[in-house]
Amino acid sequence: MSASTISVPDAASSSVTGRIRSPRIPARLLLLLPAIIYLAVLTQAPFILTLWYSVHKWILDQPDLGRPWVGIENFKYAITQDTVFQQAVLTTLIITVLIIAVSLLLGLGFALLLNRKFFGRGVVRALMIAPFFVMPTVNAVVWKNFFLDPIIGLFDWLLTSLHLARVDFLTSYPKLSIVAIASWQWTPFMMLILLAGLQGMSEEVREAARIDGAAGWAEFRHITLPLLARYIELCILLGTIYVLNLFGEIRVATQGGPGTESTTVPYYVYQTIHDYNDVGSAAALGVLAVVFASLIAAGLLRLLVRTFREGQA
Amino acid sequence: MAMVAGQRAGGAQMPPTRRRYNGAWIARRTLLWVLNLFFLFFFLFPLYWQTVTSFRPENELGTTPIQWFPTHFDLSHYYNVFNGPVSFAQNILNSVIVSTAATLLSLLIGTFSAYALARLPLPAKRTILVLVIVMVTFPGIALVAALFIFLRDAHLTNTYWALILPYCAFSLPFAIWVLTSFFRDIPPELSEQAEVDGCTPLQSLIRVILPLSMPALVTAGLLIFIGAWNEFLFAYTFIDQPSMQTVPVSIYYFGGLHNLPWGEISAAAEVVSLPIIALVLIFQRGIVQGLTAGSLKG
Repeated sequence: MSASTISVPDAASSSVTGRIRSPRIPARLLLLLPAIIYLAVLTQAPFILTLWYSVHKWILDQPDLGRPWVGIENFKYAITQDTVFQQAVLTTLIITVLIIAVSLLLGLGFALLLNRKFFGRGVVRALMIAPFFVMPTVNAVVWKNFFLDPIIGLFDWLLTSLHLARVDFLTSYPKLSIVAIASWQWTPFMMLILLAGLQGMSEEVREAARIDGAAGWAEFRHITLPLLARYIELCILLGTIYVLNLFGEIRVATQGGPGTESTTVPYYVYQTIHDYNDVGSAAALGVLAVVFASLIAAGLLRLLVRTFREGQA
Repeated sequence: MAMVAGQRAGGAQMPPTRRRYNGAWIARRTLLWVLNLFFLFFFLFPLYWQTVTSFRPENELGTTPIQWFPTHFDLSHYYNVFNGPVSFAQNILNSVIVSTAATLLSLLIGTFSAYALARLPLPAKRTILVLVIVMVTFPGIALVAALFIFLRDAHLTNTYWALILPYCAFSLPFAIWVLTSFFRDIPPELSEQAEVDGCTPLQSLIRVILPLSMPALVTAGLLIFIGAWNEFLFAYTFIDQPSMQTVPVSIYYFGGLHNLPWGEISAAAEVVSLPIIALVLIFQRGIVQGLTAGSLKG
């Protein structure tokens, strides 16, 4: 404990030092135990079960097959032969990257706007948060019917009044439609985090930069952006964790289609268990999804830690 | 750009607080306002359109030219929503029960462990906190099959517990994280004094820490509630009995119940979105802090 206190100075360790008094460990652990047991039973036990299922063949509506052990067969099939899964991995990456990029750029633009004082800023900021808390299924239903519908949607009205050809967005551009729907929801979140970053920046640094002649783009590029880097990474990290799990929007708007064009990894896992009743394959795909998500999260975390250290050095 | 010109005209010698109200300043302000209004319009339009549609009489829906503003208010869609084949009121009640229970349960468990993590000497604290964060990254979809079979074998599918238990599990890490960082900021002298006066750690938590932590509890609770209120995957998978379904699932099924139910969809969307948006606006300061503090500290 003492070694780690020295190497990682932070708020947690400072509250520990010098306060280890009477050994009342049982009572203390008692406070922590409910959470640990709860999380173990409801998230870790199901995951161990998932691992167990993933090495078996188990189809719910064919009980006569039993549950034979198949080893890594489910994994092997998913990785080497299952073209739908391979496509789903690619689709997930494309959709996630686009949603994060679009909402981050829009969020940054709006955060920069809101960082300047003007009459009514508080109201504008409050209203801007609203989309983030709208129910995702409601969001998808509204976009699908009112905006993207090929006959009566508002985008169709826009196209026809500009004398352009009709487009069935959800059929012709299913991925981009999902990106539009989810970006609308995630932009306010990015804006909030980035605005917090901007407002935490000391005005003196900017003022000093201005005196040195930095203004406009130069100020943004050399002062604002580097100071904001940590917040931008945080946006990317948190956004990615949640957007990788996008499900309701796809279920409502495109049902993974047309064909499998907008089928993402979570959606495919859902189909495997719900439509094909294939618990074994679904479990294997679920395990792969965890690995996939962990790799991305770990990579992003490492990036975050590295830039944070550089910022301090 | 006007902004650059304004900064230069302000001059380096002037203190930053004083401003010159010249043409460039006015142009800059106007540009800022126009850009803001444009953004705001873009982001709020879907909500506006949903509201207008919900009040529009059936025969005016989907007509061209498009009517941008409501002509008269018609409440029949709202009436239909609450008098359909499946009572929407029942779905709302289900959502309220499930979300409230999950929120209270995870605040209760979360408070105890956050207090232990923030205040009491425990081994491997950082490791526990890191593990808690890692839990957040766990994709729910990976557990759906196992949780479903677990709930089915425990005869819990189509009960409120089928949703309360997993919702609490998935919001607990967030609750622990936010509350731990808040408890840390409360001066330790306060609870130490209580313990000197003879309180046990539990008593000092209840009498000293909790009253001071109301803002954090309210914020974390609201965010957990909204998360549970909006959740779709588990609600859709673990419940198939219409009278037990929660709002996100009933909204999803709305399309099948009516013939092109624009008005009804909007009315239902209004009913379930407005309370949440109202809550967010009322508690917006706390929510902004909760979202950013929960994620930035650490």
